[in-house]
Amino acid sequence: MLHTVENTSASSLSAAAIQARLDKFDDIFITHPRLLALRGEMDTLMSQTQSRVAKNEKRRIAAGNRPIKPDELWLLPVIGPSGSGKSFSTSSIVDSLYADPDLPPDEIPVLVVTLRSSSRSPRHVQAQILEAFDSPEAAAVLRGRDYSEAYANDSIRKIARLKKTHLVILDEAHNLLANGISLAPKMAKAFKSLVNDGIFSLVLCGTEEVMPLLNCDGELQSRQKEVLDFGRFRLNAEDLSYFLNFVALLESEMMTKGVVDAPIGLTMDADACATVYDMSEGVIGIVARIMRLALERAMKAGSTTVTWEDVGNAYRSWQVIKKSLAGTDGKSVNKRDPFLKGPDTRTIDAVNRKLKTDHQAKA
Amino acid sequence: MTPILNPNILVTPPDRVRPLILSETPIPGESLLGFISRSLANTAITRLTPGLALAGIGTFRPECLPRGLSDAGQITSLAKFLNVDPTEIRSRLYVSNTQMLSPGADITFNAVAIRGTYREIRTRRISPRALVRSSAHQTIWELRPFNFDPNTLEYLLDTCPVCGTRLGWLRVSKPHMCDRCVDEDFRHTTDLRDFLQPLVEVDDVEALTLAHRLISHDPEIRSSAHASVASEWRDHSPSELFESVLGISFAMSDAGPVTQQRVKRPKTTDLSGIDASTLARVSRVILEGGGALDGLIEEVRAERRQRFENCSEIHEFGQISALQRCRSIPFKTGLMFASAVSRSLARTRNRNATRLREAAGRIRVADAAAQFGISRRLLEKMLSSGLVDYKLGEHRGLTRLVEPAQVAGAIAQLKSCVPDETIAGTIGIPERHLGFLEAGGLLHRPNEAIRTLLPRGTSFTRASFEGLGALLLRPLAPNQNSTPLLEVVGEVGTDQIDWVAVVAVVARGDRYGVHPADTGLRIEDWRDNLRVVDVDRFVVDFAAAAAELSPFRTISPAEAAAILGVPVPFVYRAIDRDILEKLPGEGSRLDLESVVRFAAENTFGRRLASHFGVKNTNVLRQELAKSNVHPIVPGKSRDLIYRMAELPARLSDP
Repeated sequence: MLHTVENTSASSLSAAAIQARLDKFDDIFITHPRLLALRGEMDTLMSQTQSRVAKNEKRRIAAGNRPIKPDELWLLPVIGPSGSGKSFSTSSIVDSLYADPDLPPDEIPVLVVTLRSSSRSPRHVQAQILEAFDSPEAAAVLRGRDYSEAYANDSIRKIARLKKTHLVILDEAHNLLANGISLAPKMAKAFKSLVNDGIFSLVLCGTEEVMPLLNCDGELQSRQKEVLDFGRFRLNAEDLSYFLNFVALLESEMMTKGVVDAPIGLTMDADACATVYDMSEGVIGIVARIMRLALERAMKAGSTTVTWEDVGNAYRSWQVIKKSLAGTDGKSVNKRDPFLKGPDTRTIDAVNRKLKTDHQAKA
Repeated sequence: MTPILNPNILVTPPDRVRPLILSETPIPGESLLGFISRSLANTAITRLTPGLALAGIGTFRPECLPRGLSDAGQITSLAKFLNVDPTEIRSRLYVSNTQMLSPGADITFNAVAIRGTYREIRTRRISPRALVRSSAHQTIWELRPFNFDPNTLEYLLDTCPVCGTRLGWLRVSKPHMCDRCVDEDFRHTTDLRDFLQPLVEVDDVEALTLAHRLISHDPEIRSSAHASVASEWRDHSPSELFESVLGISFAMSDAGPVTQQRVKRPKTTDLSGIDASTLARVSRVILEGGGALDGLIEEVRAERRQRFENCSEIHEFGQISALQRCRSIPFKTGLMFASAVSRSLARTRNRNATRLREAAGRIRVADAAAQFGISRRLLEKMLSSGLVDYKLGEHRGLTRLVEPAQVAGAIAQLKSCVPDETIAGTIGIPERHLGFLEAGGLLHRPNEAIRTLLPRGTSFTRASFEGLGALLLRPLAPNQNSTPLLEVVGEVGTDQIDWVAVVAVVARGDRYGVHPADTGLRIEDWRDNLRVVDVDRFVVDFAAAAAELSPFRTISPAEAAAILGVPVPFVYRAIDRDILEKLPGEGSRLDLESVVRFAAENTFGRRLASHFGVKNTNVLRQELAKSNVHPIVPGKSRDLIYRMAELPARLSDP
């Protein structure tokens, strides 16, 4: 089934040349099929939050800056497996937002906070938010003697209002439960405080492991927007179309930008398509990562093109990495190697159906 | 500054200090701690010390910062942390004034040298009315002598009316909030602006605020205040003017006992400040000049309650007269007051007073002390003991007048006393045995009045001492057979001679004396030169005298230990537990008879143990306990003392 491409360069590549091609690969930007949906949701959330915060601030001023009960804000969960493009997509949205020349330099409308797995209490989350603002008081919150969640939230709110921050993206949110699911209620209350106190709306990015946190508090659920699924693409016609389009575009960009000198043929026939799908389990981030590994492997061997053999070997390396990331239980590791045993028949059937439909449509 | 590092607080290195996101702008006249606290109140930091640690400053006590911060790196890091220029920090520091431009003025406050003791360190004082207008804690409120705000004329508040605690600097709060009143979320709950304080009721506001204006943060206000004083005061620097106003005000406020040395300053705990009307009154003198100072002096003199004719300056003018001698008051001010006091005294001088005193043949106490070369204190003791009497001046003055003859007599009596230790050393007997000679009528104590004047309090009259010496050295009849005393004392038959008994025997008897040819002997030579005519009689008399001496015979703890057969520390422990009784006034010495009696009535665990071959005294204790015999000292004392009568018969044998 596999089509090998002749190696066009026998001489070895210098480290600088390898790095240059890897940089070109990293520069490839392909819009995630669900990026638009995420952008839309975030824009909506942003405008809603701005409106409500303005209203709350008016009420606060009318009350002579005394504590008021502000109207609550919202929580947008973005759930998907690791490598599904959540972080990449949010980063690209934030980057495009910050690229606006009209945005004053001291304003941070959207703040990205990457949560650490050492976060064991709301205090840690607050400290990380303050740290993301580059505020020195983060240390005081973390180690202070007279800690109060509400008092720390007050401080965060003041900074958020100064920086005009309306949206905080909590990336890698599943890390909060890395030390056990028992922390879920406590963390849920912390998030509830942030949105209930009208400080900012939250975008919670994480794997499905974060779901207990979202489900354990009824009040927090009432503040939740609909979950934005960044999960794997299924084998239905629409998802498969998104997936294969992405793969084809990636290969095309690799050729165009000069990352490789010859095409690999990732979508040249149904077998290839099905192999790539099985290899990545429908997660497009994994396709990109395996392709980068394959590229690195090939260039180290002195080649400027990537063969299917490189891809296969890169896939197996990825499996090892994934296994080490997932722990020793190997729960999330593919048991079937599509390069050795061929793609799954169900995948081939689905791909064939899709290709046939496309052909008919063209006709 | 040398920071006192708190080990529980991590201090950020100065080069890694980050600025606060929500920073405040310093307000002119705002204190450093007020500005820091106001800035930190926007953050999640609840205490000043960890807040300063984030600014690269490690200190236990934030209130020490305005005086202690001197390191340029720390000033820069604090300025960076607060998002201000370092000059804003420097201008709010109380820089130590090493040159001492004015006496005692050791800090620089708004470019004026003032005394550091004026600064209130721990307590945060505020004016609620001023805080309604501006949220700044003013530097001027940190000066302890002032108890009101110069702009609002409102008395300062230093205690929270709700919780009753002193406002301080340990916890972060806005200046208008009580730092102690917090809810469960550490939000401050008491707004002190709701507790307006009474206003100062003084009409002369210009004079009232002169001292404030002299040290204002605004250079223009300072210079205009300096220009507004009267011409004769204008050569004073602002620092000297400020100190003059305060020094004179303190002197006028002091209602306590007068001293001639210095003007009292408020103590560190005293925040009551100077009375506003006094401050205005003094400042008006400086503003007006001319005869205003004389007017003030006369007013003060008229107000003195304890005024007498012909009395001293200090009684006449109170602390005001001390201003001319007080080193902390500017010298120029002191001179002005000295001449004003002289002018006032010249007006009322009674030229007859001196003549009247001299006519009575009496002299002043101070003159008497100088004339006889004794201390004033000793003469005062003579007066209080009644040895010397005094009379007040004929014009009911407070000056006490004494007769020189009486003073001379008292001094002669005092000189006629010989201390115990001198007598004991001269005769060669223990000091404690002198009582025996006193009881025998051979030595006499001086009268009670003289004894109160003696530094040690125990002396005998010189006459009695010399009489005793004469008895010991009286000459024998010529050609009378006699034996040297030192040969005779061997006949007494004791190991240790009680020389005091010998002295008593010799002094009372008539068959003792020195060789008639031995003239010019000193008292201390009596032992070597005394001769005994009748040796047998001496032995009998000595035995009788020694028997009388027994109440005076004492032994040391070491001697007692030898008698009891125990280690010396055992005796000391027994004394501490009142098992053995010390003789009063004899240090650790013990009565010989009581020790001997104690030895006869009791026995000791270690002695019993060694007698019966038991190595461990605990075993002995347990064995005796079985027979219901317990030591005198209960518990686990290592000194086992048993009453001989309580021991079983076989044990009481040793």
